[in-house]
Amino acid sequence: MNDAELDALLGELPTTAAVPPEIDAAVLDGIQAAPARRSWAPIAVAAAILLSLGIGALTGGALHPPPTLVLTAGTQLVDGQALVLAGDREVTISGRARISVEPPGGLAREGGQEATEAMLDKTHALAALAGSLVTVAVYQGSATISGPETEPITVDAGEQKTVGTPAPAPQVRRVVRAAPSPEPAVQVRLDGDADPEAVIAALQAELATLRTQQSLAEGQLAAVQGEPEPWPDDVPDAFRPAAFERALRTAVDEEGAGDVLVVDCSEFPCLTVLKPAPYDGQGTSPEVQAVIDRLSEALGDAGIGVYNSKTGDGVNDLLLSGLAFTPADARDDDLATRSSWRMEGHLKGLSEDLMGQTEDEDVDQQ
Amino acid sequence: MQAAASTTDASVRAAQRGDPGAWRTLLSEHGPVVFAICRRLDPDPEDAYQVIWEKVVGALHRFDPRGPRPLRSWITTIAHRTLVDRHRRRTVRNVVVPFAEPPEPQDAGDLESDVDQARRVEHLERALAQLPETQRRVIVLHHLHGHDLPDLARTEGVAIGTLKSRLHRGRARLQVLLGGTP
Repeated sequence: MNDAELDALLGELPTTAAVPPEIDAAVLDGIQAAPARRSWAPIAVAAAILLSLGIGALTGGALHPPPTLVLTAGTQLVDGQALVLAGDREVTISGRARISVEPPGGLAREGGQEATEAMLDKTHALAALAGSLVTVAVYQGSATISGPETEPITVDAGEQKTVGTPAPAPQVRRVVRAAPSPEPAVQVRLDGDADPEAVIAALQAELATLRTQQSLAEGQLAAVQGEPEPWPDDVPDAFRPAAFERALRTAVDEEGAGDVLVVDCSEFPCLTVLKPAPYDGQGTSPEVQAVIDRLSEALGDAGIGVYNSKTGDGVNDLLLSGLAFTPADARDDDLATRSSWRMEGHLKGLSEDLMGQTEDEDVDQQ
Repeated sequence: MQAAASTTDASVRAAQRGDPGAWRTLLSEHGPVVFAICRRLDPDPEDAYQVIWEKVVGALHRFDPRGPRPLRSWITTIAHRTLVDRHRRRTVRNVVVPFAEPPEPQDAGDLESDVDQARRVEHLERALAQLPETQRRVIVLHHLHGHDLPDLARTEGVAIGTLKSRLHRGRARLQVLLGGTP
């Protein structure tokens, strides 16, 4: 059967079902109520923040399902469908978007260790829940930003929108850093001159503070790094490490696609990084694409992640292609986050090893 | 349920105001399409059908009859989004979705001699049921219901290339299941 015959046959399929079921009475009740519905966004935002903090304190920030991320400062790339509590905003993502949160004091402009420490600072993180600047750039799909005082704002693919007005409170950070450490409470107990009930109360307050810090920190880490996924019991054999590596190396050799630099099966799913044979062009080389096609055929219904990385000065460039194959039924947003983080680590590490730099790196996920 | 009547701008606005008669018209016109999609794409089509209409009921007030998107396309996009969500939840819970027994491969000669349209359609339906849900969704919604690939990719939350790959692999597998090579 050729394509035209298949198209003709598909054209014969009916597009309607003769007898749809009756609609439930409960749904019909909703029809009556529909015109009177109002926006619950402001209440939902408050509830989501409280819920995420409350559940986060109990579970260490792991919220499944649906994927809910808490971002109090910094930048996060989201691929898939997710709810992001960004500062005091609720951002609903369906597609691929980058969210940046700049809390009062300009934390997002900082970098490296200082920013990390500041993000984990409890008081600073809590302060970030109000008056943050939230920027949403949508690469694919759309996003909706809801806030306590505004109508929901839709951001479509190709657009970037920033909402919020930072509260004029940069001094908060200084105040926090100048505040006394928790040590006095412990010191009081050691000195034996404190009311035991007051000591207990102070310790309980400190414990609550530390739990909040922990949940926020773990939420930040989970949002960026994801969490290791166990190998599913029912994963098809072709995806398992030995079979995957065998099929990969055979395909790379036979297609002349370059060198296999990494095969990482330490977590599910296996990832690989190839150094393609030299080629003129952008994106995936034809030989690597041929490898992808062959593996797709061998693995069956697989979700394919392709990450092309280019490092260099335009003359001596290092091109790398990272590939991730996941059984289609095993794909989810958490796995995508984790795989992206793993792959980014490999690509940056290899760039450093092979070129001695990462400044010019340009990672493009297809 | 009343006989189908065309859903006009006025009837959509009436439905948005909660008019039961307008809703009956809307259901009679679009219900069979939605249910056909549910039957092909969800293992529990009756439940999916109710869930989709619950969402349509809740969202219809946001539909603009004068906007660029026809009502049918708007409703079937909601159906698509709902079915994607349901699929993901099933995946998370590791529910195995039973499908019909795979059809016996036929060669092209057999198929040509199978002139009876009902049999061909039945054969194709059974082959479709053998496809992974992601591939089946794109084939059904693109080929049967005319959804654009970029729209489908947005709703699926995947790159357009991924969607085209699913379409290509789904068609190739259909061709194998129906007899012959892709």
